[in-house]
This record gives sequence, structure tokens and C-alpha cells, in this order.
Amino acid sequence: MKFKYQRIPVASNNAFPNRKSIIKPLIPIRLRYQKNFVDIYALIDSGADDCLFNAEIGAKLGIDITSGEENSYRGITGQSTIAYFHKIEIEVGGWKHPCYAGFCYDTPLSALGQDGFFNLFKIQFNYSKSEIEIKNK
Amino acid sequence: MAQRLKLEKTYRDNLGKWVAVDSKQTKVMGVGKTLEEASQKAARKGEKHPIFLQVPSSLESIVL
Repeated sequence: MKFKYQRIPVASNNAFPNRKSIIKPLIPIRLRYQKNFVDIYALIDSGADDCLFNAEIGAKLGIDITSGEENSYRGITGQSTIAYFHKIEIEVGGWKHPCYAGFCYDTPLSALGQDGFFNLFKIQFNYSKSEIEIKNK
Repeated sequence: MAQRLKLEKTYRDNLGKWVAVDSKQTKVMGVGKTLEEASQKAARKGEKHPIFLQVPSSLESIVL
């Protein structure tokens, strides 16, 4: 299934005085937990170890967030956060897979990382066409 | 066929908020400070299963 990159605004600054926006691989996905599901836009992030979602998404799914196992993360800027992991199901393009995903209270976006996304799907980026093609593995 | 919603404007208009987009991705159905608030507003407009977009609080560049 093919998805289009999404054009997202960014603030201009001295380093990039003429840049007003950037395209990002932000795609619609479905998360399921028991009988509940939530559809969200999530960023495909090949640099992320795992799939991380905001805790509000987990709460909407009916998950008791802090009952999950903890894992701490550190971004390349050094900021750290804690995620609580739960077994959910991820659905992309109609393909469903079990996914062990983390839920954070302070993440500003949802990230699809190596474990729980890249290991389940074949992802082909075509930046010049502004397209992402995702297939089931 | 309705045109796909452009998230660029949606971002600019809703920094720091949750946005509920209709399932066909053509329009904003609800905005709130929380996902639940956006969900309830969308539900009142008849969209029970929107796609939720979490918009960061600023347009600063993001590196994860």
C-alpha cells in the first residue's frame, strides 16, 4: 500500500531562513487492544528502537498504562523519557500484527520504530516521489 | 471526491493540541487540549472513529 509523505510546517531560523515546511513519513495506522481500536497518524522513524505512542492513545484503548513494564529512552539530544510497554495489535494497510509498544506521558508524537514496525513490514521510501510503499513481510 | 486534508495548515492552526480528522482524511472534526476532548467533539459531529493527530506545541525542528 502506498502512502504520501505529509508536508509539515517548521519554524524558519538563522540556519534555515527560507525553510517553511518539510515533508515527513507520517501515515495513518490503527492500534487495537482487546475490543478497542484507535486510529492515529504516526511517524515512520527508522532511528527509533521501538514503537512509542502518547499515553493518551493508550488510555483511549483502555490500557492501564503504568501497569506495563518500563523502559527508558534517550534521544540524540540527551533528553530521556520512560515508556510503559503493553501487547497491542498494529494495523497498517489492512495488515495486522501483534506489537509490543511503549506508551509515554511526554512524547510529542507517535513513532514507528524498528521493533514492532520495521520488523513486521517491508518499507520503501521514495522521497523524490513523496511516497512510502508498505508491504506485509 | 473530496480533497485529502493538508496537514500543513492543520498543524499551524492547532499547535499543542489533538486533532480528530474524519476517517476519509478530508476535514477536521474536532480539536482539543486532550485526545478525549477532540474525540468527543468529533463524536458530536457524527465521527465516532476519527484519526487522531497529535500536534507538537511548537514548529521547532524535531530530532528524536
